[in-house]
Amino acid sequence: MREASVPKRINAANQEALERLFQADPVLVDVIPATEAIPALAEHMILHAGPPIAWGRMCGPMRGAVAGIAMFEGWADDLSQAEELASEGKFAFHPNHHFNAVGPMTGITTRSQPVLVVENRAFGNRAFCTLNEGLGKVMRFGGNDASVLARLAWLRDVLGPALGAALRESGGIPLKPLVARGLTMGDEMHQRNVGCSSLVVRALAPALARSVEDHSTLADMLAFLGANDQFFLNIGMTMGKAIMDPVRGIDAATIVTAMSRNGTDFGITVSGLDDQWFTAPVEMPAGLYFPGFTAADANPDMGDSTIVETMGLGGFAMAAAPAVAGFVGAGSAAEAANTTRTMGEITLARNPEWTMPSLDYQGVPTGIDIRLVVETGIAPLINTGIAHREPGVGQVGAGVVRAPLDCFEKALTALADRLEVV
Amino acid sequence: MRPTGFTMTRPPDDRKSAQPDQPSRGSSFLEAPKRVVNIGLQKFADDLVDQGVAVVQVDWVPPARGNTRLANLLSRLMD
Repeated sequence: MREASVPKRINAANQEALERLFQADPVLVDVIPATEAIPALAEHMILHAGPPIAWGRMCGPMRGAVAGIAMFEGWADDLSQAEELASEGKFAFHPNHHFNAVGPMTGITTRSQPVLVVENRAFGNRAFCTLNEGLGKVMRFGGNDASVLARLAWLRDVLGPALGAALRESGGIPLKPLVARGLTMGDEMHQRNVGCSSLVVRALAPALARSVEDHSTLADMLAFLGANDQFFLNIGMTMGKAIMDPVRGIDAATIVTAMSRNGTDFGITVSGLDDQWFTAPVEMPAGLYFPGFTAADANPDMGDSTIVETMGLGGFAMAAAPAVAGFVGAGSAAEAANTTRTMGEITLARNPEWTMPSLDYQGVPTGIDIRLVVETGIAPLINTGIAHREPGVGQVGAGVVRAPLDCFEKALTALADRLEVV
Repeated sequence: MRPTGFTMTRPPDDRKSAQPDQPSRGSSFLEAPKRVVNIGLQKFADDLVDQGVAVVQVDWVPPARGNTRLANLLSRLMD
């Protein structure tokens, strides 16, 4: 390969990547047990958010979630025994991303949890994610007490099967048009999901009413869904994974296919670099804290939810969600618009189907190019929840955080090596 | 390499020099109201604004944060 042709080769590869990204047709089709969705998910195997990490380097909330899920799965009698088993290497830890899955914050996924199934009908691939547990003390933020485990059991035994039945009866929910409407309702699909969560409940309520015979149980389900503004987050993340997976593995493409963090390391994968992780230490979110908590309580950045930004939503679509800009401490509506414009400096395209009224219906900036990130020094901006740094406490705030530039610089060097550019 | 953003800053209205659109009455360059485009360091722009000068700030940083190895790679990987 003559060096002079390298930029043309990259441009052609990126064009292919963008076509695959925009041709995606994600549909929420089912909710099934994780072990059915991911047959390789064995006993004592725990999937987590972010790039690979061993127990010894896990942060507090990740350890708390691991201990809690070990009790939930019946692998330990109490939290201390669970931690002992983990430290003895009795659990196999793997990233969700290695199994076509994602998970918010700690991102813990094990055999018996119910998972959302999004099918990308343009390419035939499927992606998976656990159900959103609601706010407060929840496992994704490291919560692990009896109330957390009881809610997980209700999701597994009651809500999950009912949602699955309702989705199968309804034929599934096409997600691209739903997200397009959500953007006009003030959602950016990471820290604000009020519009899309409502649209999902509206779509599923008739089928739920037909499939759930007990009115009290149905009322509990609708109350849970109606009170959870972030219910769509996990659906949006599953959609993101289903959209981005077919973009993986395009020779010479410089588009980012995943950004993810485990509370210790931030990692990215790039289309033209197989599934290799490029990592750097995670950064600390800057944001606003719930009453009684401060930045001193905060855990560093965590979760697979950055798949939302990877496909052009979340912080990249901040202009669509001025309400969330205040919630995460990112400033005024004008600053939110500037954030979206700035993310346009490191992306290759605007999504023609996902547009923002506040920017005269410009599309969300899509297709993060590692070359543009390294050239400009502009790090992707992420909207995120903030977990307490100690196990078992839960969410303490919300804010914004930057992807570490080191990840992109390492990836660029690896790509140059791959393309024999020196 | 591309700039990463623009900010236009005008001085307070009560400053004499805060009339960048007025034609110069002086005959020399030094006497004319100044209008400045500042590229890079924000501090230079801030100091000029404090002196009543109209400034357009261009947010610019050296490519690859000044890392010449990465900048050289970029020049071979981009059009």
